[in-house]
Amino acid sequence: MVTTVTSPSLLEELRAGGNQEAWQEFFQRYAPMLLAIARGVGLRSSDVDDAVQETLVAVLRLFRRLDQPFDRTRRRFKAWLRGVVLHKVRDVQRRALRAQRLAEGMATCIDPHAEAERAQAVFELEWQRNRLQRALDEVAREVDPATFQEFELYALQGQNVDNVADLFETSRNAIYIAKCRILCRLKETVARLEQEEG
Amino acid sequence: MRRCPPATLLDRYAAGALPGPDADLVESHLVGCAACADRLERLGMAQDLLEQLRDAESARAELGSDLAALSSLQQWFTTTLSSVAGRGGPWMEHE
Repeated sequence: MVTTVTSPSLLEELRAGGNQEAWQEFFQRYAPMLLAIARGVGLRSSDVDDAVQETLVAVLRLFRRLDQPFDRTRRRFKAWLRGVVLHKVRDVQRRALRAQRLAEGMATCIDPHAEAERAQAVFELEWQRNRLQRALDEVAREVDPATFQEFELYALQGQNVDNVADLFETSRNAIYIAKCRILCRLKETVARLEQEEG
Repeated sequence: MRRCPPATLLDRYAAGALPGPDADLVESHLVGCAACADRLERLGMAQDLLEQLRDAESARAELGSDLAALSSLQQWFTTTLSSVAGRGGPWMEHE
């Protein structure tokens, strides 16, 4: 999925009222990550949708209430989103556990501290993956499509360099140069996105 | 650039730390010199970043395979947005 708006401007657009396009952009950017988090912490597939929907509703509410620009609170957006999604996940987990206890007539114990730590780690992993994917999408839009395909096939998918060079009727040297250029650009983009997060 | 660049220059090129004109010079040499292009590749730059990228891409592919879940979620979200545009749906009442 390709994103088109930088994070601070998207958040600010949502705060200012957010048209359908901006909200769909937000969905494309964060919903797959929220799904991955809900699954990553071990929610049953029937509970995953509940956790994600409740999180998205909380986001909609936040932006309805926000009365100051988000650009000074970017760091807090990540922390806030982490707090909300992990809280919603925990709620859904507790409800599911209660239902299971009732159905099975037994006590099922979880260690809340260990669960919380695990959930934090899942969030950080998915946030980092999301940032990398956004950076990759951004670089893909900026460079020549053939160069990016060469990079994908050789560097990401691990195909043989000579096969890729033949496929694009270019040299092995050109494939190495393309890989180097794109990695440098990616590093810069990831660093910029990190900075934008605060 | 006819002569092969020194290792330090190639390192800086690989790290994206060379200014534009110098990077262009090194690159024009790399296009025609297989030995230097191989050296560049052997530097194994940004291996961590590459590993993370492969992991992120594989996670995205895994999630993308469950298009039904994303699609039904998106449908729900679009409906919810429409109710918000109509001056607040039921989800606002629990605030």
